[in-house]
Amino acid sequence: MSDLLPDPILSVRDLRLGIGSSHRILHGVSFDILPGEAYGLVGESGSGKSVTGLAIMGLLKRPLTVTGGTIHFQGRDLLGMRPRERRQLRGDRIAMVFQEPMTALNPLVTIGRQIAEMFVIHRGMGWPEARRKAVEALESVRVPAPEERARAYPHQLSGGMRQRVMIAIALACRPDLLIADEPTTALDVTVQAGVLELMADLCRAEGTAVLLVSHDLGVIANMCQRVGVMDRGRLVEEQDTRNIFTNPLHPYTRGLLASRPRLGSREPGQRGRLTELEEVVAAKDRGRDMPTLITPRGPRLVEGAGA
Amino acid sequence: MSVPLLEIRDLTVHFNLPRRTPLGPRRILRAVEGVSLTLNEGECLSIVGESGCGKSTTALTVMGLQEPTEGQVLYQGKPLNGPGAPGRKERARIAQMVFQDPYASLNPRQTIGSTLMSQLKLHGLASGSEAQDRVAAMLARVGLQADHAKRFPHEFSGGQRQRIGIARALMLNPRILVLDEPVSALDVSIQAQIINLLMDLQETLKLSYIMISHDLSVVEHVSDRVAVMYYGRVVEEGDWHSVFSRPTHPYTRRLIGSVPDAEAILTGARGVPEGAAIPAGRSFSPDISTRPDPSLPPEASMLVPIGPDHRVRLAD
Repeated sequence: MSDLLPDPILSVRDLRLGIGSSHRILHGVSFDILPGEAYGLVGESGSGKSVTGLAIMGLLKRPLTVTGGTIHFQGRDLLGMRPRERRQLRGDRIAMVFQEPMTALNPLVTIGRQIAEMFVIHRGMGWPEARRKAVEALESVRVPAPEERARAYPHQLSGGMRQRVMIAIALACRPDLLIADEPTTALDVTVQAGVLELMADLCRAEGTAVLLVSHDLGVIANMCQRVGVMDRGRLVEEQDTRNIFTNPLHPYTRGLLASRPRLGSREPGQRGRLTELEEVVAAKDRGRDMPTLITPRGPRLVEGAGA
Repeated sequence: MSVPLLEIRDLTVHFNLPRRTPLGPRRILRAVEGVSLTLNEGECLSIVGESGCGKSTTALTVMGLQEPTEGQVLYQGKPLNGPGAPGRKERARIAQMVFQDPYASLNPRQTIGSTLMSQLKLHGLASGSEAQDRVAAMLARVGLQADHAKRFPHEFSGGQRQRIGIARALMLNPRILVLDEPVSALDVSIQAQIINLLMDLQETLKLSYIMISHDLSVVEHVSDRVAVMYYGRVVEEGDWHSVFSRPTHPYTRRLIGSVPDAEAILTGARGVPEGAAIPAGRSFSPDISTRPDPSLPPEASMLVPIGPDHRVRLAD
């Protein structure tokens, strides 16, 4: 089976992050993302899922540094690259959507110009042409009245609209890999569903691979074929998304699944007491010597083949 | 019929917005429009809705932090606002609030002990070693240790800080806690601990809760009654089981349908339970296919019973 799989677009091997030379933040994380695949990283705060995304983007802040391991993107070693080469990839081939669009967007620049900037920098277009492309990009993320909205500043848009703008910027250059870090956590549930669906649709249509970082298994199930579970700086389990709920392998994953409040799980006349993670997961199961439990990728549906 | 512990009667809160031009028309934001809710002793009433629907404004009015434009909040049948209303100190012993982000609501330069103790001193309830004992007892009650009193807020994790936020709210033995998104800033596993703690405290201390939340799965677990708000109005309200098993207003249905439930997505068993029937010839209010303008008066409508303890808003 595995020899039928294409070469991964992103390959992270034994990635270690720390402060100084000590490996304290990530203790050797390895995973692959295939072209066009949506891969989810789930975990609690402090598990290392966000810093993994930032390390791939090359956006780690000092004093946090990569202390070991490799990251290969389309066969090229990202960590061995010169800063200039990495800047060229960033925004063009690898793009990122952040959790808080208000802090990620420049408040003093119209959103049309912020999108157009991508075409000017990465495609060498002139501003007038780039602006036209920016309006098209806004249209593709289903922002109503894109012509008019292109002249708006970030504060004039709602949270959901701002996140659509972020997605437009990230997908402007049709990247091969999109990293989305909690892209809908700051949004209302009703808005969240629409933004997720939009992101999934656009990536599917373009064959963009996605690394979705989230604490919400529901969000990951919505979009990802493959999911990695992180705990305390380690990848503890990796599986196809459809199996992780029915057949979780790692005790930590079982604990995470059991402690979620789920709609429709409370019986009438009963108190809705929840299972706490510690009731399910023994301390020894969260230790350093637990291996990563990985099941091979299941058969994949190649969408759009023949269409 | 017995008097409910707390009653919100026809609450309306309007905010004046700045004029667009110096001589332009006055603009009003209708944050809350004619909301009536009751909280019975020992119950948890949850108010759900998206940001801007007026749920937090309603809660602030209960706390006395926002003056109502019209309407009343009654505690044991006596009004909490207007002439003859209890003063701030008295009010502080009726209802207390637990905030979403406990770190932002704790003084970073005071130890936890002195934060908790200051209330006892201010209200003249205890001082010296007795106050210290009461702080230690409260910390134990929320699952912390007595020597945590010597520490500062930054020395605690998110879950511990929320425990401190709960301890702070309980120091004066209030009857009501207003919980404003009490777990939405916390990790899933910590959420479960805090929800369980809140339910245990409710039982042992005979507390009543008003919970503001946008997380429907948490609401379903904790609540006795649920009110769904949309653009300043309650659009559906009733017993938790009734609302969740027969969500009837299109907005409630949309909310429940938006919860990303992993298993349901993967098995394709995703669906919202069937709603109750409404009287023939009547329609839901407001129409959720268009966005109501919060500066205009809402259309005439009323809450109509559709079950034993279940009401939904229909156009008049």
